[in-house]
Amino acid sequence: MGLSDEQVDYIENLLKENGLSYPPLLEDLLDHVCCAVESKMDDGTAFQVAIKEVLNAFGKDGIEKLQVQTLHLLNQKKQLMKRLSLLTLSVLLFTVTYIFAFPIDPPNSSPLKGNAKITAEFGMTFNKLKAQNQFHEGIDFKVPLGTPVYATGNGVVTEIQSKSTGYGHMIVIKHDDHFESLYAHLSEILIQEGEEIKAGQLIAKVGNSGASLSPHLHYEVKKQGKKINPRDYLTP
Amino acid sequence: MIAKELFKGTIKTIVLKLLSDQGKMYGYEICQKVKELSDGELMLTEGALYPMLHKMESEGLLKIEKVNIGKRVRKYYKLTRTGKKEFGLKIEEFNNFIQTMKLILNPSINQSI
Repeated sequence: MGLSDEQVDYIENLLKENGLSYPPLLEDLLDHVCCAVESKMDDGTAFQVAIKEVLNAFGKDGIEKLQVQTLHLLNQKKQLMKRLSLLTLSVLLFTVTYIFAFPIDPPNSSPLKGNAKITAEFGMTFNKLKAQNQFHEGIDFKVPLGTPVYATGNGVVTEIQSKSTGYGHMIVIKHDDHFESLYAHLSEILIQEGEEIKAGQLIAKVGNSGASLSPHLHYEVKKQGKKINPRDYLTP
Repeated sequence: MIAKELFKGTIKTIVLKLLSDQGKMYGYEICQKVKELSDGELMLTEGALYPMLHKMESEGLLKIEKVNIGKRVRKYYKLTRTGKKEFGLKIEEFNNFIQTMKLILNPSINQSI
């Protein structure tokens, strides 16, 4: 047997009087109580008696407690979500700040601005001077004496060395917290230690200084202190 | 009657099972079904059921289908895809629990194996 609209309204008001205010729960309990009342009325109980019995079954303040418990459970979930999204946000913020504070800008332009012949690659090569296989820590470009050498990225000159052995006349430029570039066997150095350098700036001329048999540029790239293959960043 | 504490931890599993079998059910129907299936041993009260339904909905396990019945709304609860997955997990978890409890309560069976 179905309840009349007036009876449904009456029950809804009773539920509200009992402290039920959360709409989704009110919908649930209104239907629930109506079903329970209908069931009792089918067994011959009068509406007023039936509704009283059904509401009494909730116990004292039962409806209010039910609502408190529902909202409590939902809030726990919301609190957790809030905490999680705050965490995500702060991680994101940190990453963005980090990227801006420590930009990764590898030296990636060509030190000779043009197609220079590479005569020795990075890796195991035969060293003509020592007549043995050796790990070559950079790449060699064979170019005429005096060919201009350009900085491969923005940075600061951190080291200038002039020796008759090894690298000979040499420049080290520090680009950022990750990268350094090195230019060796130069004939002329056109910059000072500590000077700020722009990518593509003329810094030196190719030479034959140090352990070198003929004019060439020896070029190295260090990433976080470790020598890597400069080809990984050279744009042809 | 089964102890309240024991029952409390299983309400979620029961709801998942019923909805998995029946497709969709409304609150009052769930209460009646539990009573019927358990021969009156289990009384799932409104106070226990509805907070759980709302929690499960907020967790994405259930979705709602509303049907107007005169002046009132009947809310049918259905399992979402996540809810179906959760049901499988809960059943497994519950069976493991039963097995473990048996081992603890009847160690002699365990030894004879």
